[in-house]
Amino acid sequence: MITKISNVDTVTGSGQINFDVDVDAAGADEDVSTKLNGDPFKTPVKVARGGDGSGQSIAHTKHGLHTVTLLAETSKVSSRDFVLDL
Amino acid sequence: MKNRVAAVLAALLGVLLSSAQTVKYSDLAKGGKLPYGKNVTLTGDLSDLKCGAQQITDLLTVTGITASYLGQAGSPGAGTISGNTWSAPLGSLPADTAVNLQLKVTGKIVEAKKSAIVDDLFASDQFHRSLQAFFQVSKDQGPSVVTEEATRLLRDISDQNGALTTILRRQLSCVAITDVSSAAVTGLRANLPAFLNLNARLGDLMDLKLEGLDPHASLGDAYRFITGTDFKVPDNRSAQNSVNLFKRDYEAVSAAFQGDVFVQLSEGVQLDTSTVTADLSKYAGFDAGAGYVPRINELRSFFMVHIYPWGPVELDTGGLLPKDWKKRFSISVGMSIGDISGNTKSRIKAEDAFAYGLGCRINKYFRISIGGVVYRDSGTGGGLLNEAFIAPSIDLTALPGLKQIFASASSGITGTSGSSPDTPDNHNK
Repeated sequence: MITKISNVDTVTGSGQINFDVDVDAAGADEDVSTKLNGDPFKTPVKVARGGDGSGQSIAHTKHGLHTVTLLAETSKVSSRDFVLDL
Repeated sequence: MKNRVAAVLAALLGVLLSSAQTVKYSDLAKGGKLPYGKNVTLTGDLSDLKCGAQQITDLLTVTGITASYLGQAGSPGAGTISGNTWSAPLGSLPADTAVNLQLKVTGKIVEAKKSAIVDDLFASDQFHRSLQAFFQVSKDQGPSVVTEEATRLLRDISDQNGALTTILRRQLSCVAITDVSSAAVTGLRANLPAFLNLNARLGDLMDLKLEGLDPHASLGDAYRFITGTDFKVPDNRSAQNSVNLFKRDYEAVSAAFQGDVFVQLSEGVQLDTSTVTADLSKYAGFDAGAGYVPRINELRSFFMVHIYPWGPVELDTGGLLPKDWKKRFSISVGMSIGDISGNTKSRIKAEDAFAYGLGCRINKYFRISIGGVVYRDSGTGGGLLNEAFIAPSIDLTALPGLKQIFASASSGITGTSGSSPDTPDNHNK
């Protein structure tokens, strides 16, 4: 399961929100989602046991400043709140 | 030969007229005087520049300095910084006025202060409440609401009683806070995500539980830890990202305080030094001297009034020539009342002769006059004659005991730091 979502970031105009996840000994296979201005966006995250959870991303279609909080849908772990200029 | 003499005279005059003077700022702070009538350049060490007990260099990396006095007509000249010393031209000072010296120091906030400001801001309860309110209101909202709320947050922290204003006032005494606050808000607005995310970035960094990093470290301490030479970058890519993102955003926030700021050392500040120049201003001088009349071979006493045709003249208390040639020339009229060379048979009937001519002041006290004496010939013809004369004389009105009678005003008081120089008492002493 996902134990931590961190380093939520973006490159403005890239259409992607980047983040890293830490996983427990079992690894992870779950969706990570967010809402941007009311619209849901999510991405499946699959990390093998002992694997590297960095370099994840969610594709989106939004622009401008948004407050972003990512949520691991199974483990219910969420990131901190970040403001991203999408 | 004539040309060589002219060149020597010109060089001599040049030296006299330039009369520039360098004054140590530290001497002024101890009550020293500024000389009137010279082009003054102030010099000092950067450590001389203090705001209360605090050295300005503790606040700023000084990049520029100008010196002026209150009410100065022209723009102050730019000074220079060289290593740990500075110099700034002040120009000539006005006569008969108290001079309230103003130093404007320009610089950039030193790193330690920037770090303290950012630390204090993010540790402030007031700021925390504002930040929490921002995220609550802007969550799941569109860009217009997020931008509006971010603008509100910046306005809240930078208003008169805002967290940033309070912190700047505490950390940067003597600095023009409004300028800093305004520049900082502009800088933070340009990097809103970095500013609004910095707390969260610190949280991500602290989650790494880096060995040697205090879990309660401030933003500045955390930044110094990860940029220190002893810091070992983690192998884990996620941890590396946390370090890099925190570093990036901290530097962006800190950069909002890197613009030029100003410190005005003026009234109410320890270094605000008041100086009074002593002087004497007058329209005419009254001279006594000895004149030589070569054609009749007589050395005679003269009393003459010297009128300054271009208006009142200010005498230099240092005794040197004023820079303006017009202030040295005068039209003179007077009389000669007797021979002083022991001549038993003067050519001048009844010893009285009218004298007229031009005077040229050598310094505050002495003058040379040339002109003519008109007298009745005591010889057989008894006609009215006119002969040339040359006469060195002393300006009696410049003598201390007499100057109050002839001068418009005079003063000679040196104020002390922080005193009010413009009081009537000072002027009238």
